[in-house]
Amino acid sequence: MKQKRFLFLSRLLKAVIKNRLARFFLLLAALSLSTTLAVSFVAISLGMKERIGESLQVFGANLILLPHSEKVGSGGISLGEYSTSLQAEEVEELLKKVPSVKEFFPRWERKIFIKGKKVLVLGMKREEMEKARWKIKGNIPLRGEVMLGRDLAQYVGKKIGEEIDVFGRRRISGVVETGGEEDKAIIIPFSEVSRGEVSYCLLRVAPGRTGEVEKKIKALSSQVEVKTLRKVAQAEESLLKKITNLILIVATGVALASAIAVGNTLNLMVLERREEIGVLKALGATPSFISFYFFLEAFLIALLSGFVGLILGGGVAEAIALAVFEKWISIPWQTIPVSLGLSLGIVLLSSLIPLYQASKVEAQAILKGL
Amino acid sequence: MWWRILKGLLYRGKGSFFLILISATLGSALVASLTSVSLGISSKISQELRKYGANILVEGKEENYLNEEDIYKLKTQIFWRYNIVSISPFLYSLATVSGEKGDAQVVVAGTWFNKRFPTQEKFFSGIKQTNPYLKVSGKFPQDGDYPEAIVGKEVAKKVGAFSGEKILLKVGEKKAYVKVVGVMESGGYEDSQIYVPLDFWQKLLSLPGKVSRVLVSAITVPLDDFGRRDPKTMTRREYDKWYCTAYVTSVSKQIEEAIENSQAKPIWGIAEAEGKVLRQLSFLIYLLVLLSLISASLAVSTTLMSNVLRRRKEIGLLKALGSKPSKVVQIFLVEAIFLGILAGILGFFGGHLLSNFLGRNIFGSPFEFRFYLLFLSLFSSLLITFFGSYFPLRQALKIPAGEVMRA
Repeated sequence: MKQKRFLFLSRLLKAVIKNRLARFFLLLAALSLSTTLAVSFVAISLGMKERIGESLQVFGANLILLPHSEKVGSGGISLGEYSTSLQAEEVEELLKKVPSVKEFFPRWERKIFIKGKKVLVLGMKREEMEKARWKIKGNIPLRGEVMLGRDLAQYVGKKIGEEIDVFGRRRISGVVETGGEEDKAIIIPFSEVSRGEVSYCLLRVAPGRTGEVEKKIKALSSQVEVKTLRKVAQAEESLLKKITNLILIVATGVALASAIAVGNTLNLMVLERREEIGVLKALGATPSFISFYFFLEAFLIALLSGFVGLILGGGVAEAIALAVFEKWISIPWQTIPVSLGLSLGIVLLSSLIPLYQASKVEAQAILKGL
Repeated sequence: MWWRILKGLLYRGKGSFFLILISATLGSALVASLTSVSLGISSKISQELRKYGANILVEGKEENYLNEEDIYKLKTQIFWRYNIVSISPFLYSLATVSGEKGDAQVVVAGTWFNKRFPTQEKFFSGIKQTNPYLKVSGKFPQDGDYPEAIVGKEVAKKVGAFSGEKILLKVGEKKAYVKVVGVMESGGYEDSQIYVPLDFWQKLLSLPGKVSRVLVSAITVPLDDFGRRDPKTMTRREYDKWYCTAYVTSVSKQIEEAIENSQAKPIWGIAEAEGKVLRQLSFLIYLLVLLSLISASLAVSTTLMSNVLRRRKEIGLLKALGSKPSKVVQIFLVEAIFLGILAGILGFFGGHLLSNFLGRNIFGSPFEFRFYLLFLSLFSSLLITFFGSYFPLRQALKIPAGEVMRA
């Protein structure tokens, strides 16, 4: 009996697909559109966080690595006066063990006297100078060159192309304006001065993970001290949270709207086929069978549109990521179960009313017209 | 006749009218609130970005002192005064600190903590606002001539200065005992400095009304190529345009003009980064809003489609009674327009509530109320209801009257 019933069902479904192929595709397209929208939001809320974190990278480092404080001569003076320093190799070895560190920039600092004034000399890697959003007249210093801070350049009265005595005679390649301490400093390529020594090292980790990395580095080495630069760390954490919350709420709105659209589409499906239901009923189908049959059909379409939505929605999410951040996002695997679950849930929930209506159709009323 | 149609719409539908209305209202509320979100998002994000701290630094020319009274002009005189979010002056001096555990040479700064501006009713400013990232255990000192101090974490460790204890500050011959009311931590320079109230520090150093530098946090628009240009090379008109745009450079220029003998510099790292992040995040939100608008209009138009289909019988009856297809279309469109107007108005208010909710809960302040959004939500809901019912209606009209009537 059960087998017979199953056979009947499968023949019915085959007939539906054969006779109503155009309608079927229309329905599928309508549902897929809704699920695509929902899926792209799921993918974006799950996958965009990393990209936003990267985009906040422009605000600079959020952790600083220093030699252990007990070695420091007199506390409380600017970072440049630390008398001891780390070895660059040591730092690199250490940071290899902490993969969540996205970038690190070692720095070297000394103070020298220029025209009777104590001036900070800042050894920086070339990549850091290129990434820093500074206002530079002239060029970044290469071998045998230095870059002067704006205020210092005014003070010593030297122009780009002239020479200055900083650990030997060097050409001035440019003048930099940052609005920070660099304006009164001399910037020199790291390799020119450091000889493997590092005064301190600036690190960049994903927003919200500074505490975790701090702990990890502390556990790995007692030679160094790590501090969170709260200025950057706090601001970005709060911003990231707000943006993701906003996306999440908008996504909820989209899910709601999709549910309405899907529900209506299913309702259309039932309305259009009242005659069919009438015939089925006249042939002795119980309301529960009709509900089951329509449910099955809705379920199959939902599954199909879920897959279509998954592919298209992923595409939409990637397109947005490319447009905004000029980079792909890695859509996490959670997107698949979440969006399939979501699209099935939406379809099943929103099919409740139309199913109820379908089972209520009266056979005679319909058949009268045939 | 039209009245009877509308009355019939209300009574005959057995609640289906309200279902449609709810769905259409929901859609147009979504349109209104998301539009207001996307219009306001960029100012919300730029306010949020102020948490990165000040973006303009003001110093004296040739390391001269600045006058404290000039600072008040930033909130009263300059063109972009409303864009200035907070201001902190600093009067620096190197001092010897003596605490329980020993002495140290430390940079001590007199500053404002949360000072009420005499010129402004509700404007409070100081490092509480310019440096919101400071982690304070204890509290900030009071503004005014009080011998209180907040001590950086490193200094506190070094000299043994913790909340409730007294430390001695010595600058040359001048000295004073101050009470430590809090310890601050930032991971940056603040950790190795001490902050005391500005008035107190000016008195001790005998520099009344003087400050060494000022940090300003201002809301600015992202720099574009025009904003980066040197104002000296601009024509008169270009200069005016530049001056009246809230670029970080032009706001700096105005600050420079207000504070005598000063040079105001954008803190470039912050200013440039801000522009980039602001553009990216706003663009992201715009795109997402666009997507959700599509899904909202989808929801509304499918609702109307199923409404038309449900009433095929009615259409058949009208046709059988001899009304032309154009008349049937008219009747249904009047309904759609009525529905659209109602949903548009309701949606506008609903959307306003929704965007208020979003603004308050996410950013701490509501999105700006824009009255013209009423017209937008009316227009969009009319458009959606019109197209949502027009196309299924045309299909329904193709069915011969007899076939529909029989059922």
